[in-house]
Amino acid sequence: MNINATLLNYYQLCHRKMWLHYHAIRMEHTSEVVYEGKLIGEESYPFRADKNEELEISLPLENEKVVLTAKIDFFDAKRGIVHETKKSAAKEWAHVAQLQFYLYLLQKNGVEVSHGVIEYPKLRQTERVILGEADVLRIEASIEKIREVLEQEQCPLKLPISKCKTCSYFEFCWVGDE
Amino acid sequence: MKKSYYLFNPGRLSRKDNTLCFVPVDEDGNEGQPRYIPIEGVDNLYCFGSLDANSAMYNFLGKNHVSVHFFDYYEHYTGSFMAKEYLLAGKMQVEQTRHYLSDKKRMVVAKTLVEGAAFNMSKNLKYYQGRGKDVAKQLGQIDSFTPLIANAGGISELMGIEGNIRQAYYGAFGEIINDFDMGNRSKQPPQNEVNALISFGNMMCYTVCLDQIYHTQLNPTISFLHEPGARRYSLALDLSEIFKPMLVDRTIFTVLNKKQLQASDFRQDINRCVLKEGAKKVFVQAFEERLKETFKHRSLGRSVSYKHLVKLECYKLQKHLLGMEVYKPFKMMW
Repeated sequence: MNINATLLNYYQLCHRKMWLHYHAIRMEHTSEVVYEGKLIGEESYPFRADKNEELEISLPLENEKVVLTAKIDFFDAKRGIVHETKKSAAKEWAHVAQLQFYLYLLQKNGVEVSHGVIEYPKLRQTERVILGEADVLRIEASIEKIREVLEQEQCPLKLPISKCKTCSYFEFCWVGDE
Repeated sequence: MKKSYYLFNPGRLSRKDNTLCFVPVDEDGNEGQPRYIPIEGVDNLYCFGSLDANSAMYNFLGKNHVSVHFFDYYEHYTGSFMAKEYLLAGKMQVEQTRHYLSDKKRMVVAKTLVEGAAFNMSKNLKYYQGRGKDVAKQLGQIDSFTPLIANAGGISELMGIEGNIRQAYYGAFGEIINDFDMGNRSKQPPQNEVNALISFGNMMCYTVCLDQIYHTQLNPTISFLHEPGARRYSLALDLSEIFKPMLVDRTIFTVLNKKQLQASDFRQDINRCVLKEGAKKVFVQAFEERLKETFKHRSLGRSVSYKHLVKLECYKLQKHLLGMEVYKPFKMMW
């Protein structure tokens, strides 16, 4: 079982979304929000588009049943800084968690890291992210819970509809009788 | 929103940078004014005229998940260019297959499809009954067949019931349509105007379903009511049962009763009735408008087009196959 940052992110938002995504029932291709994010990530720092800084990394856990994987868009190896660009117009906790996940993976692989930086081109701001001891424990606990949910035969229940309005799975989950 | 493009005129379609370019060519081989179609706006292409194209164009379409549906001179559907699958999901595939393999599970889905189709057919008749058409007899027949669906012992029995319902339903067409007789349903080839329109419209409905299935994780060859893979993408045949009354038949009634199509729009060939060029355009345009029509979807609380409704039906089927929610077919309420 591969667990990546997307699943970690979805885990915090909605277990059902995470379960479906893991089983390749994907809706992201229908979402303009996702497409916009992709464009902003690709186009915001044209001078930095150096493919060499992309980094794929993985970490098998004890019994090797679970492998943590990450695709980092920009890792500045010299300074040990992980960069992540977000289209969001507001800072979100999930962004921090994603970078901490990257830092955790790098550290466990024996890579020298200093900290992470979230870039918000729309806000013209950046946010510095560090990985503390408490964060490490939290990541490890989440991964255990993610594994449990993903191993369920049944798809988890949906959230209250009020939380679903902007989700790309909204129609999938809520279409019922006309 | 992405659109369908219908190519009636012969010409050359090519890739021009990241845009499609269509150059019509007339009978003498003279090129006309090129027309540019931004690829982002293209949902799919329907090709009725003869088309020149090269592999660069198909590669380009494939990358953008645009399908092309081809029709021959006699407006038969002849096949589709389908871009590579891009939404493979092993879990979905396994569950879909499992539901096909188990007779019990397969019957549940197949019965639901027939029930939905029967409901929508009788809804059409009731609508016209409300407008003074005498279709009580046919409605009564459908009503007497419908309870048999639940007790059908196997697929062939179910197909038989479905056939009876459809026959009763088509029996009402002569009453609903003002100036044309339908007689019996005849296909391969259709013998008269109404039959020609039904065949043409059903084909259009089939391609719409196929397109929508393509944009989900469902496998279009594994079906429940129809036998899988025997002909065409049989899941699209399954789904179109639900939508034919609403999309195809209503469109036929409209174009004929509003006299948008008349006897002169058809041509009697040897042993078959064919739509003339102009008639195809009229029907396709009416059909396309039908697809674009929107209504407020009750459970989503959003405005939804009929075309999108087909995709939503795919979602419901997916949920059923994944054991999340029992599938209830779309039922026309108006």
